[in-house]
Amino acid sequence: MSRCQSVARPLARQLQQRSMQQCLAIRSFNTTSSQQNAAASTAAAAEPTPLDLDPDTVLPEFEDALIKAGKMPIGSRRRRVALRSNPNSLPFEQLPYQAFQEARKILAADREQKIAKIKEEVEKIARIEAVEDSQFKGGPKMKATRLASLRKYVEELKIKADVNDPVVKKRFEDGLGDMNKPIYRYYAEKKWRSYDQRLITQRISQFHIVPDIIPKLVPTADVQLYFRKAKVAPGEIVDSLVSENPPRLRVQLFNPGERLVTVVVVDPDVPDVENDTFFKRCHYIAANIPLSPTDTSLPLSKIKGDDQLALPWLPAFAQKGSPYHRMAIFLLEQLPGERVDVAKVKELYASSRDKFSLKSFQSKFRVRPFGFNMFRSVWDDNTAAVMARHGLPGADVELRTARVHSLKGPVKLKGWEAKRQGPKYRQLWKYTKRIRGLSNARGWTKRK
Amino acid sequence: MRSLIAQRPFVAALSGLSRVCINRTAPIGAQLANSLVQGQRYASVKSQGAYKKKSKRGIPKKLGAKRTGDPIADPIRTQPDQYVIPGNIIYKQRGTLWWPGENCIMGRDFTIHAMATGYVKYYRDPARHPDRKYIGVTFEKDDVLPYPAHAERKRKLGRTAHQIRPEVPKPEVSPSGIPFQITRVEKGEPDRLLRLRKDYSYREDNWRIGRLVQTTGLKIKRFRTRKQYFRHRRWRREREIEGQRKAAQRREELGDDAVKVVKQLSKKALKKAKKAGRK
Repeated sequence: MSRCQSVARPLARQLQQRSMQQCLAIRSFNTTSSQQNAAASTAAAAEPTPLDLDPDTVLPEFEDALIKAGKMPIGSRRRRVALRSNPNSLPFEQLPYQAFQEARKILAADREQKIAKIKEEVEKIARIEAVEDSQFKGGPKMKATRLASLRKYVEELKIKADVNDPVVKKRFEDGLGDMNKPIYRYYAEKKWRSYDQRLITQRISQFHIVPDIIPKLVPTADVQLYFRKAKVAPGEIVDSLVSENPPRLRVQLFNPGERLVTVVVVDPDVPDVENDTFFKRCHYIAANIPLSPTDTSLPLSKIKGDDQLALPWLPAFAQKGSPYHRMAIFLLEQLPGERVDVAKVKELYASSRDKFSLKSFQSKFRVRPFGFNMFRSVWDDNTAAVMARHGLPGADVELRTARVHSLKGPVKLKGWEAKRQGPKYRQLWKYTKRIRGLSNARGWTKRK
Repeated sequence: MRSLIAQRPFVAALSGLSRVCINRTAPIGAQLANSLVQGQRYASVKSQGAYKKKSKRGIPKKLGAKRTGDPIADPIRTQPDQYVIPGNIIYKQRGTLWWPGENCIMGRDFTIHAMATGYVKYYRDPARHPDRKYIGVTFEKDDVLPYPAHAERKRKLGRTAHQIRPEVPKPEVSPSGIPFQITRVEKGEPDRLLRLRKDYSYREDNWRIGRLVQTTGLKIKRFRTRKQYFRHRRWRREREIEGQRKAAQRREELGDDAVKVVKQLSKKALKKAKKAGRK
């Protein structure tokens, strides 16, 4: 039996039982099956059982209510149904398999060892800290290095103590991990690095975010983009009606502690027809937003504070005929304990959002980029309406590819007809002019 | 005709080997064939020496730089960087002597084409590749390739702004007083939109006629995809084999005598047999 089948077996058994019960019910009450189903579904919709209020066992139809109540359903729907069928099952860690329990003992012993080691290292750190800088062998520099390396080792040990615990792994996979603990942050970062981080770095290079907007960008936090509750993959083209309202960001930090961040949205592809180039436009700036590994939601529309919102959201739009616009969303980390002067930001950028430079913003306000996501915008059916609603000019202008003329001069045309176009051959014009399927409006043209 | 063509090589060989001394005793055909197969040349021919010379004039491949600006081949800069437009051929080559750099692309036969209007530069870029030579096109004549690392890309819009003309609504009735389009309503059929043509006839658009098939609900293909068909065929075969297996089993259970072998007869043969029986 395959793994998938073995997982589904309790579910299938449950369904079989239920269908049998239904059959019995049909016989006893003598109703048609469709009526029976309808009655069952309405009854179920009306009154959720206590099992349906539990995120571990909630059925799909009660998920929405549970999410609204603030609890996220745990695990897959399949697992939830399987758990319903067997509510009084043993907890995972008490499963009565000898090898499993022996293995757990070994893991527990290993954990004890790691914790003892941590205690030892912490004591060592305390001892070193107690020694004066000048007394320490190698001087203050050596002391700092030693302390840093010891602290790093302690962090490593903290992860190693829990990394083999199946219960911890399960809790992380169920989304119940406490991001204040290093082990869950470690798992989250590992998961991010396995795919999303690679994807975002690829987007940064393939959309030339790196030389175009900033010279260097190494993302260290997971930033996901949501428009109207729907997740948008990095670089996806978003309808202008959808991107009219600011998105919601989901930011997962992987290093401990609360910090203040700045969010900047830049469009580096604004066409500059006079100079035949592009310039950058700033679509959004908000600063002094507190973030920590535990609070991940960052809805840009909810940021309204006077000392936070500097430039409100300007909808993404692309003029007709212009190449796609990259809308780059940057998360910048402020220096610890420092606040960005929002009044100054407003003064600098509120008058003109055009010709924005993230590089100069970075140096002016001492912020460092750590998170990135992006979407794209093109001219679509709704763009004109969006531009009209927000008083943006340029909806009536279309950009057309500029014709590049050949470097070669005009070619003397050849052929019997070409020779006989002049008035000398007036008597032949009936043959050389007005030839069907061939325009002669601009003189004799070459046959294609 | 075919035999004539087949004999052609022999004719050519005869004319070419007119000087070859032919041994009368051996059959001519065999002798010729031998000399052709082994590529023999006799001393009298070899002494002339001419046939061994390679031809001095092959077909020129016309490779090389078509647009200049090469500081490597032309260090004193006697030739200016040439101006190119998109699509111009800059370099023709066999293999990649040069690689496409800034604003250039490489064609199927390794030809380097310009992708922008500008000035041709031949350069090396050790940051990109340690030993490749690149051809690039810069917008400004004074620009030096490669551009500094981490500097913003230089891009051109290459577009001009035009006012979008508002769509003029088409009048419903043509100047001759008849409508441009009418709807044909037939009971039990979808409504059809007929449009006025140049010859003042009303006819449906061809693309609309094509869409009519969808309204009939006809199923033209039994299977939507090829994959579905093959799956069906596989399953059918499996069913057939299963049925045959079961039939064989049943036959075995019932024994030989229970199975009555019915010889397959055609309709005609059946009729004949009936007739014969009646007689």
